[in-house]
Amino acid sequence: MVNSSKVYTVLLVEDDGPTRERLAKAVNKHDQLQVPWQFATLKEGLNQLENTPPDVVLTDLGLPDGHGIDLIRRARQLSETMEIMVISVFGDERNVVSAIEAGATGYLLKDGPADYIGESIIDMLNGSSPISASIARHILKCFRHDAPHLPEGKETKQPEKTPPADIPKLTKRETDVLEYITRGFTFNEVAGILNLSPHTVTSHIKHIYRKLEVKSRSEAVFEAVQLGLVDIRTDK
Amino acid sequence: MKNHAQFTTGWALAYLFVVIFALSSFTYSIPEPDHRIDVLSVEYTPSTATHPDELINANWEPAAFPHHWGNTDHQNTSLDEAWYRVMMAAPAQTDELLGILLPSITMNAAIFFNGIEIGRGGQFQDPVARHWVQPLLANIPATLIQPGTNEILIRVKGLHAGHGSLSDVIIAPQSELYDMHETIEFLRVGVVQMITAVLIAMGLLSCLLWSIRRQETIYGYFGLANLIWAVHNLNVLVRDIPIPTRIWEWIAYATIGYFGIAMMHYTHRFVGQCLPQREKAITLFMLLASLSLLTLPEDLFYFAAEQVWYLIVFILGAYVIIKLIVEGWRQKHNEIQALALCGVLILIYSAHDIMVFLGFDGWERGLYLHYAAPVLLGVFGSILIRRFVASVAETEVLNRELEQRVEEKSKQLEINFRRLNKLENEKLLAQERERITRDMHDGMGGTLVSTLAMVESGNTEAGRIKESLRGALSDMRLMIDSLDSAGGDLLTMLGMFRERVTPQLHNAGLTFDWQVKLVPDIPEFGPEKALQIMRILQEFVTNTLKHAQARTITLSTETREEAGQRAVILTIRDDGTGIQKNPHRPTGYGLNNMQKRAKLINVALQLDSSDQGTRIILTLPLETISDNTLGTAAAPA
Repeated sequence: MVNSSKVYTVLLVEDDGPTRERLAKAVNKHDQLQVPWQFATLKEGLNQLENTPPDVVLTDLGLPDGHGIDLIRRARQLSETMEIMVISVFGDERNVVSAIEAGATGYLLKDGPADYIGESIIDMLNGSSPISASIARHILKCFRHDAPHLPEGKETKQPEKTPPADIPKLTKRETDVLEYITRGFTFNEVAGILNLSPHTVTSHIKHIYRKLEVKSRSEAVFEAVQLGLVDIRTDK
Repeated sequence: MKNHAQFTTGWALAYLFVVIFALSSFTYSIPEPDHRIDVLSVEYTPSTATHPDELINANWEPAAFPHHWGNTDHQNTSLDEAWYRVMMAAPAQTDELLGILLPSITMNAAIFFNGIEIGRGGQFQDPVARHWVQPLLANIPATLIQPGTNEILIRVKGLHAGHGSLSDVIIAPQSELYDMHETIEFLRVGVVQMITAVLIAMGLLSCLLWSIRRQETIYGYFGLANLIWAVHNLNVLVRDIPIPTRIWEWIAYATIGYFGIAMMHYTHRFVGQCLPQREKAITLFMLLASLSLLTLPEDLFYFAAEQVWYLIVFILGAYVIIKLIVEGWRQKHNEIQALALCGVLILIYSAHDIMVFLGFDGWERGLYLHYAAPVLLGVFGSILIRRFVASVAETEVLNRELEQRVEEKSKQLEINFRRLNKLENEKLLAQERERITRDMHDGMGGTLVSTLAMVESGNTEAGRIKESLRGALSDMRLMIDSLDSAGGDLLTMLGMFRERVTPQLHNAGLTFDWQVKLVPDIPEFGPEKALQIMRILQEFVTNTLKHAQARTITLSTETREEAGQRAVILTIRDDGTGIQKNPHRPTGYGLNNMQKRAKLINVALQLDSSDQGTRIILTLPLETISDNTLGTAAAPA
C-alpha cells in the first residue's frame, strides 16, 4: 500500500524531448511522485539504476542506444519490488506483452490525459496493474500454448524435450479474470461477476504479470539448454 | 543383354572348363595294379546254374575281357545269366595275400575259388543287386590256393536277357586291390553321390525361388530338371533296390526323358520363346511314350527302352541343343552359347552311354551321363546367379532413379508451391493494401481534409479543430485495432472498442452498460469486418453523444436461432430522445453510412428509434450463406 506521506522517486527514460517533458510534468504534478532523473538514452538509464535505484521506472522501448527491454530486465534483476512501467502507444500490445515478460508491471499510454498518468502510477504502487482486452488476449494465448516456442522443427515429442514442470500456469480464477477482461469488462464488473473484491481482481493481474515473466524466463533457459547455449549441469 | 561384353572372359573360361572336362573324362582309365597275376585262360558259358557243381556238363567257350554277351552273341540271347571260368597258376611266392577284383559287372556276380564261394554282391533273385559301375572285391584265402593250376568260377547275372557283361577279372595282392577298389568306388560312386547332393540342393533352391516368384517359371523348370536328374542318378548309386527291377528300370529310363522335357521348357524360356502348344504336344507324347513302356512284356520292354525310347529322348535332347545353338548364334548371346556347349557335352555323353547300351562301346569305363551334371550345374548356376545379381542391381538402379525423380518432383512441387504461395501472398498483400488505403481515405483522410479546409478558410476555432483531429485520431485507432491479431475475435474487438470510447463517455457523464455474453466465433471474421463494425458502433456512440441526451449506452451480444439460421446478434442502444423527436438530429448521412458499411461486409443492420431511445441490431450469421438471402433480411424498420 502507498504510504500517504512518502514521496516516490521516478526514473524516466524517453528519447523524444517534448514527450519526456510532458510526462515529467504530468508525474511531478502528483504530490507523491517526483522525477529526479530523466534521460534520453539506455546507457544513462542503466547507470542511474546502478547508482540510486528509484521506486518507479518509466521507460520507452525504442531508445537510440538500445532497447528499453534491457533496462526493464536490469531493473527487475536489481529489485523484485520495483514498479516498472513501459511507455506505450495504442496498438502496441505486443511490445507491452514483451515488456511484461521482461519484468514490467504496467504500461502507460503516451497520449493519455495528464491526470491519468499520475493516477496510473499510484494505482500500480497500490498493487493494481493496468491491462487491456488486447493484452489479456495475448497473455491468454501465451499460457494456452503451454509448449515452449521451440525453433522450427524442434517440436518433437521426445520426453527430455518437455519443458520443466516449474513453468507457472494460470489458475482457473486467473484465467476467468483474463477472459472477462478480454471481452471488455472492467475490473469492477469482473469483481461483481466473479464475486471478488475489486482489489483482488487487480492483484490477480499483477500476479499474472509476474507469472508471465517467470514463465518466459524459464522457457528462455529451457530453450537455451535445448539449443546447447547453456550448460546447467551442477557438477561443475 | 546390355552388358554381356564384360562377361566374355568368364564365358571363355567356362568353355575351356567344359572342353577340358569332356576330354579328361574320355581319357580317364583305371590304373593297372603293379603286381597283377596273369591268368592262363578265360572261358564263358551261358548257364542258369547257381553252383559250380551244376556246371559239369557245361559247354565252355573261350572269351576275352571286357566281355559282353547279348546282342553280339546271337545264339544265347534268351539267357540273362552266364558263368566265366578263369584259370590261374599258383604264384611263386605265397607270403602275400591275394584278392580278386571285378571292376564292372552287369549286374551282379558271385566268385568261387576252387569250388568255394569267396565273394558275392547281393541277391540274385529279383530285384537283383545292381552293380552297374560298382566294383566287387573278394579275398582269396591262402589255404584255398593249390599248387599248380587254380580254377576261378564267376557267376554273373545280367540286366535282362541278352544283356550282361564282365569288364575284367583282376588278380593281384590284396593291398593293391584295396587301393584300386577305393579309387574306382570314389570315382564312380563318391563323385556321383556328391553331384546328386548338389543337384538336389540346387533343385530345391530353384524351386523355392520359383515358389516365391511364380511368374518366373524358368526357375521352376530348372529346379525340376535338377531333381529329376537326381532321381535318375539313384540308378547307379543304389545297389540293393527295394522295388522290382522292372519298375526301377522304368524310373531310370523315364527320368531321362522327363529331364529332357524340363530342359525343353527351360530352354524355350531361356531363349525368350513362347511355344506353349509345342511344349504341350511334346510333353504329352513323352509322358504317353514313357507310360506305354510299362505295359510291354519284359523282352520287348528293354528293346523298346534302349532302342526306341532312348532314341526319342536323344532327338528331344538334340532339339533342345540345336535350339540353343541356333538362338545363341542368332542372338549373339554368351549365355545361350555356353548352354549350347553344355548341351553338346550332354549329348556326347548320352551318345556314349547309348553306344554302351547298344554294345558298341566298352563297359569298362562305365556310364558317363551323370558326370555331365557338374558342367551343366556350373553353367546354369552361374547364369541364374548372374541374372539374380543383375535384377538386384537393376532394382537398385531403378530405386535410385525413382528416388531421384521423387526428389526432383518434390523440389519442383516446392518451387511451384513457393511461387503460388508468393503469388497468393502478393495478392493478399495487394488486397490488404488496397483496403487500408481505402479505409484511410474513407475515415481519417476525409476528416483531415475537412479539418484542413476548415483551417484554410480561416475557421480556426480551437474546439472544432480539436474535435476534428480527435475524430481522425480515433479513426486511426480503429484501423490499428482492426489490424491487431484480435481483429479476428469479435468479443476482444468489442473490449478494445470499449476501452477507447470509455474516456469520451466518462467525460460526457454517460455509463456504458456492458452486456457482452460469450458467443461462438464468427466465420471469416477478419480485419475488414472488424473495422466496419467498429465504425458503425463508433458512429452510433458519436451520434448519441452529440444528439441523444442519453444517460446510458448498452452493448450486448447473444446467439439467436431463427428459421434454422444461427447468428450472433450485436445490439447497441441508448436511452436518449430518439431520432424522430429530435429535429436537429440528421437521420440521413449517419444512418446511410452505417447501412452502407453493413452491406459492404454482408451484415444485416436494423435500426429502431423511439422516444425511449435508439437501437441498432447487427446480425452476424454463424453459417456462411449466400449474399442474396442477406440483403432481404436486412430490412430497416
